[in-house]
Amino acid sequence: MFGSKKTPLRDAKPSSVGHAHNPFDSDEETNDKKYNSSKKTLTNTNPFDDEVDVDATGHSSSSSYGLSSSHRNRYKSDFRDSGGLESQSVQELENYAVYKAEETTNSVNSCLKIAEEMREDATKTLVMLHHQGEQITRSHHVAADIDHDLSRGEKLLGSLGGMFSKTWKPKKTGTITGPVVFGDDPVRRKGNHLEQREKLGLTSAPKGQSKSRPTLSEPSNALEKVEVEKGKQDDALSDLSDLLGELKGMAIDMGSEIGRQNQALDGFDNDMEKLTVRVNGANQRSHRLLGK
Amino acid sequence: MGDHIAKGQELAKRAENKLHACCPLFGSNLEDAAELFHKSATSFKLAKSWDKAASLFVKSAKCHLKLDSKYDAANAYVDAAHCYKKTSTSGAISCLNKAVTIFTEIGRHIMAAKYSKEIGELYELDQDIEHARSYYERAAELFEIGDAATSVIQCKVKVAQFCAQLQQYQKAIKIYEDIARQSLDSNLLKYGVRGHLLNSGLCQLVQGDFVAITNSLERYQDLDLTFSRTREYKFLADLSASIDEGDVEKFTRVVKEFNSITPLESWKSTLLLRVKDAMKVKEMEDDDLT
Repeated sequence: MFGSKKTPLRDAKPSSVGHAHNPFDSDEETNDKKYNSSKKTLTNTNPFDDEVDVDATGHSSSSSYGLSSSHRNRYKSDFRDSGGLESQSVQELENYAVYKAEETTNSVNSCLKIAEEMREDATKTLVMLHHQGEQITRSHHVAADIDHDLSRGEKLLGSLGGMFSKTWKPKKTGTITGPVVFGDDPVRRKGNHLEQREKLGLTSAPKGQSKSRPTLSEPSNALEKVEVEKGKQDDALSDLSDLLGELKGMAIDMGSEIGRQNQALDGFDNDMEKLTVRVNGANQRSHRLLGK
Repeated sequence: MGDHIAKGQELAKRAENKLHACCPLFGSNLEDAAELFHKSATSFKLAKSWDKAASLFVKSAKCHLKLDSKYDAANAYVDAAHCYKKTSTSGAISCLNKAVTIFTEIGRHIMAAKYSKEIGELYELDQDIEHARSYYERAAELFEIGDAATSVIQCKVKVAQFCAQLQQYQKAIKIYEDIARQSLDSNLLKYGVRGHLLNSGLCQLVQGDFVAITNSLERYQDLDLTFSRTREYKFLADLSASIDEGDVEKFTRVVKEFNSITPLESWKSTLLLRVKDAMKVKEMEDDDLT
């Protein structure tokens, strides 16, 4: 796993848990009054933001295993400049394995971060879709009210005119259907596939149990360090898997909601066409009456 | 720009003349005056003379009120508020307040709610959290009357956030839990539940009652069966454990790990700093005792 090629995500900011400078150690609440509504977080005021010093090679200097930049350069080039993998000592190769494992962990964490951002955006999109659906329904209700008022108006216009003039009758258009209220998709109602699996007890993490493995004591040799990194990668990949599953569910829900809204808009459009014809007819009648 | 001002002044003068020459039997002069004030205000707006434009929109609104044309009056007040926004927040708030009152009177609840929310946003920009909260609360009530569920939730979320900032944690917890319960009923809103439960959990943490935190986490799992598998749940559980152990370093590490994937908003950071400070104080007290 850690022998994989470098991904473009490699240089993304890693979590600097063991970093010497802890920005969370500030004793004053600097951002108590500095809340700004227009941004999600204030610039440079989040005391939890990692401030990782990045060295010339693009790696954080807060690496837990204290590899020098010269070592890093050699690892980056996969020992091409120093005789290839075969001519390296066991110690060098062990350190190289640790370096690669760390790099992979950072890449996986970057993927997880991107997936989380996608999830957040998708959540906002779903809220907007819900809002849009409500607006369509409300607009359709207003169209139904207009229809009701127009019927009364047409009656009044029909009764107006000269004593011997023929009673005016509005053009016949089909009746307005009004808004169709869609319930949630019955198959997916009140709980998705995950929840159903949870109820059946098929999920990997039982209720109340956190997925992460217990923290081991500080690793002493390279193999242990690699194992620790692999553990971190497994946790991150497990989270990523869950996130991608959720994103799939979100995409399905978005699709079905957009389909539903398209249907609602078709109905709304038909009703508005009928209303337009009737309003035009009523206007013509009014002009004729005023012209007499 | 100069010609816009000249045109505006000329229209304003004509409007004033119409007002003073008003015949008590007919409202037509008032209508003309209102229209001329509106046109004059628009000219000043184009000239970027915001205060003058706003005052003319207010005059137009007053004419509409005399004509009992409340909807037009409310819209004129809104136009005035949008001009005042450029120069004077208090002027904008005053005009929007009048618009909200009128829209509520004529039963346009969603419009009233929209502008009430706008007042809340203006107070929020001014760092007046107390007033911002009350206007968002009012907006939520009006949206509820207008049957706009999504907007109700959005406003309530802001109310809860302000309650947390004002250290009214119990109220914030109640709002977040209600929103979470409400959101679970919708296929589209259920994905936001974990965020609401996280916010509620953070408010519980600040109160520092370990038993209450544990009970809440159990309750959240019953509320949303998938919650126990989320990073948010793990985050709250780990924070809770570190508070119980009084381990400030672990607390810091847990927060930083979570923040590295999901950046925390500033108000959440503030809450967590309060928790950390309380832990430090407790640690010092324990040291003094030993």
